Amino acid sequence: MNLVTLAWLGLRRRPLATALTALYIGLGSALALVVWHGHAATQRSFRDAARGHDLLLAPKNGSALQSVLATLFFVDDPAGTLPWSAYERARADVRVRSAVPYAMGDTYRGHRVVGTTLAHFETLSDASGRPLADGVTGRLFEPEAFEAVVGSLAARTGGLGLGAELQVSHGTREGGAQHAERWKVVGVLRPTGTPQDRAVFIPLPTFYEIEGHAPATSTPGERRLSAVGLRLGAPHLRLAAYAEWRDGEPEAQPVLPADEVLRLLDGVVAPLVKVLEGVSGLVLLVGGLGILVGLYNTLQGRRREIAVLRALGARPAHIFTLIVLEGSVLCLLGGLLGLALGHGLLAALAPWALASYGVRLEAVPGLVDAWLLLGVVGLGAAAGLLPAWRGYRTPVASNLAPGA
Amino acid sequence: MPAAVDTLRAPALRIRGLSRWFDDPEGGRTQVLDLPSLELARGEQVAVTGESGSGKTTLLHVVAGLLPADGGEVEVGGEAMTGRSEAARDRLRARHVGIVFQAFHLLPGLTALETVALGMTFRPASGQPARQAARDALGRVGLGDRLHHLPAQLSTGQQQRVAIARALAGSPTLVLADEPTASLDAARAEACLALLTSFCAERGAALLLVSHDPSVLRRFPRQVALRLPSERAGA
Repeated sequence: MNLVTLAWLGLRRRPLATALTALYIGLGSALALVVWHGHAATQRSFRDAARGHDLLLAPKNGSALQSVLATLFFVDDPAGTLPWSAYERARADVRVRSAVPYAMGDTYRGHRVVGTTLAHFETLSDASGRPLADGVTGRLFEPEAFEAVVGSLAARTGGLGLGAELQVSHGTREGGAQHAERWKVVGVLRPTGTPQDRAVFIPLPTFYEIEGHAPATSTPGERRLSAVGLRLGAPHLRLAAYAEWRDGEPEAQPVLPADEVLRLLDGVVAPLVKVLEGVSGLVLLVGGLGILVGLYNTLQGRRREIAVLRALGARPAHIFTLIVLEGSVLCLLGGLLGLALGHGLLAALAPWALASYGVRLEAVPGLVDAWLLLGVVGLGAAAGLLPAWRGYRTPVASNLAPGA
Repeated sequence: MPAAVDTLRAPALRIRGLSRWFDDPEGGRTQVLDLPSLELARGEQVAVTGESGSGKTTLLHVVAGLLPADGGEVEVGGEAMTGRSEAARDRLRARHVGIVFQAFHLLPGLTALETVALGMTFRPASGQPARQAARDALGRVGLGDRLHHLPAQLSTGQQQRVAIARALAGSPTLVLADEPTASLDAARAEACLALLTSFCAERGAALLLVSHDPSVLRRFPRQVALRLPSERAGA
């Protein structure tokens, strides 16, 4: 029988206290795991989504971040409109390889309806770099027909199979009045794990056919857009083009999506993550203190047990190690429970995160899990030090007397 | 290898001028143990008698190395127990000594098999795996069908047999038994004592047994009487 087995037997003798402490440590570990993997997945997803366009042209007086969130992530209202002429000027710029216009303002059963051109499907890609246009079930829409291409999640949750007809509702939130126009679904995008999975795409000209979206007499030049996504000929042109459009474009502002996402992650997400990390750290710390107090308190009733172990030949160092091991084994149990709970929770949250925010929660157990487990076991060992020192010093002979 | 030969041929226990003092509440010091000499050959069985306070239990604790001696020498299996560090005494105790307590001192939550295996945890590794040795020892004390019983599921007599198996499973040089039958009724005490003495004889272990029970002492042709401090002062 080795000391680890002996430590386990010691914990087994206190099943309720062991189970409750392990559960507490498990909850703290699970929280830490979810926070870490959730943060990593959010960063990955946002950066992947922001990678599609080098620049966005957004409404002049709107929020740059709002434009990025609305155009690339479909999670906010468009920040206003910009004139068609801005799109024309950008398209004519020799530095621009592709310009993708976006007009938004309607939804289908909670999924954002996006008026755009075929360039959208050629320009944007998934995390592996494969264009959206690849692997479409059916086909892409005709540029001016009342046809729709839908993201994989929108197709599944909205019941939009090939040949289905849809009518959009006014506004970016559910509950808006339904428009009369009908679109026929001709294509379904493959799952990409990006916000594109949640959207419904229609040809830009048909967006203006929706009642109230443009005056009946308007010419294309009078129409307005929510944003324009730009892919430049080379990445190094980004900053120069940004500066030029910032100073020279009267009704639109250039936005660097990657910078805005970084600002969002650093300014909003990172502090939130810090708070959650702090909370999970606090939970683990309280769990560690619980182990310390629990082990320390049980020592009073374990003096005879320690004396018997010593009488059987255990050295003080054995007693010290045994008690430290009890803390470690307890935390190992809690940590393993936490990993199971954490990954279970991530798996349960994954569909919701993908559907609501386009964030793919891919939590493959790896190095982080190993470090977390190691840290938690270390916490248990540290919590056992003080009780172990007391156990180390427990007198033997006096605790072996029948009345002791 | 002369040293090894000496150790193997040495008596199980050799005591010379052993003394132990305790601080008393009045600030003085009282000699609770005074034993000029004692030697047990391998396999020999000796009873220690004396009234309460004469130092019987203290003698066992000092021989086991649980308490340091204040004077004199103790050798167990040819190796000095006195004059060594606490850790060294622990090692020597693990190698040579098995102990049977009056109150059994079985740990709640451990099965009989785990209890006996625990008794060998701190011994140097022997040829036989601890679990198998524990199984054999429990079979020898008649508990082969109670291997997985907890202390609370055993009678007091069975508990003491588990304690005997724990002390002897590792084939120690010396078994120390402190009033091993005091918690048992007469019939069980007799059976327990018979088991302890015969098991020691089979394993070649010397037995130093403390008791003040005449029915127990009758079984031991050789006895050592310890005197109270007041008797020693008057002598």
